[in-house]
Amino acid sequence: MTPRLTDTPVLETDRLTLRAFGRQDIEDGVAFLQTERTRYMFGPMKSHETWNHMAGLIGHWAIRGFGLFAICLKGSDAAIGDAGLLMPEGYHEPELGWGVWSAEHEGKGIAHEAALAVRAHAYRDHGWSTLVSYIDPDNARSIALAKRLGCTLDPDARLPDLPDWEGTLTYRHPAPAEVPS
Amino acid sequence: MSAHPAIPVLETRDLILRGYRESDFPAFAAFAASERSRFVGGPQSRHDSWRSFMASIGHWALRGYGMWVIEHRDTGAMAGRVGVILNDGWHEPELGWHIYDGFEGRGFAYQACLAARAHAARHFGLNPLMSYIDAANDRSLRLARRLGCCFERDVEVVGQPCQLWRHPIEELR
Repeated sequence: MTPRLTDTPVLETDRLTLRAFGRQDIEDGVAFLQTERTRYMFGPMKSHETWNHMAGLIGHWAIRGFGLFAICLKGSDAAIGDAGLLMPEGYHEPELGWGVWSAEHEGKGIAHEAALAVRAHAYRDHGWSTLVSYIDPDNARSIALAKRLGCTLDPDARLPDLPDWEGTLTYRHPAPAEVPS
Repeated sequence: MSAHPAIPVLETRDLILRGYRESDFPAFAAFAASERSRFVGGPQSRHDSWRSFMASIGHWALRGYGMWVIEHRDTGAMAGRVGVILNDGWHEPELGWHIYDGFEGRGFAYQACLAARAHAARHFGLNPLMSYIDAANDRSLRLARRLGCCFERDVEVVGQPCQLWRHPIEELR
C-alpha cells in the first residue's frame, strides 16, 4: 500500500499540464530549492531542509484541499516549475504563487500560462473572489508578470504574520468579473 | 475534494493512532515551542512548526509511512505522535515518539510504540526498526529499554550526536 494524494485536480492549458506534487518530483524540486533562483522566496535552502519542504507542499494539499501544482510540459511528467494556491499558517488570505525552476524554461510565457490557469481554477472551482501575490521588491521578473496578469499594488493588504516579511509587495489580482473566463 | 494520503488507523486500549487534522496544529505547535521538544529538534517557532506539521503529512505520501497523531481515546485530545521517520540525512527508518505535556507517565508512549512497531513490521516491511535517542534523554532511554531495545552505536544525525538503539525483531504471526 502506498498512501498518496487522491482526487487532486489536474489543470490543462495549451502547452502545460498542472498536477499536484508527488514522489516523482522530489529530486528536481530538491535541486531547485538549493539554487539561487529561490533567493526571492526563502532560499537557497540547506540540503536536509529541501526534502521536508517538498513533503510540506504535499501536506498543504492534504490540510487545505488546495496547494501548489507541478508545472509539466504537455506530454511529459517532469516538473519544470510550480504554480498554485498557498495558505500557510500566518497568512490572512490565499496567495497565487509561481516559480520556474530553470533558466531554460524562462522567457517563454510558461509562468504566465500557468498562473492564468490557476487563477481561473481558484475563481471557478473554489469560488474565491480575490487573490494576492506576494513579491520581493527586487524580483523584477515576477513584478512584470504580476502586471501582465492585471495585478495592481495593494498597499492596504495585511501582510502575513511571519518573520522577515517587511517590505514585501502585495499585488492584488483582478476580481473574477474583471478577467475573461 | 479529498487530498489526503491514506493513513491507517490503529487502536490500542487507551489510544487511537490516526492521520492529521488542521485542528491538531495548536497542540503540535505548543509541544514544538516547549522545552519538551529539546531532544527532537525544538524548540521551534510557530512558523517552523507549521512547516514540520505539513511535512509530517507529506512524509506519508512520499515514503508510504510516517508518524501518526496519538489521540487519547477518553478525551479526544492529542497526546503526542508516534511512527516511522525517514527524513533526509537519516541512516534508516526510525521509530520516533513524542508525548505531550499532561500525558506522560501513563504508559501511553509504550502502548503507542508497540502498536506502531508491530504495524511497521507487518505492513511496511520495516523490521527491526531503530530509534535515535539523545544520551541525555533519560525518559526515552528508559522507554527504549522497556521496549526491548539495545544500544547499537553512537551516530550523528544532521550534525547532532546521538545514540542509535535497535529494536527487537517483531515476530510475524
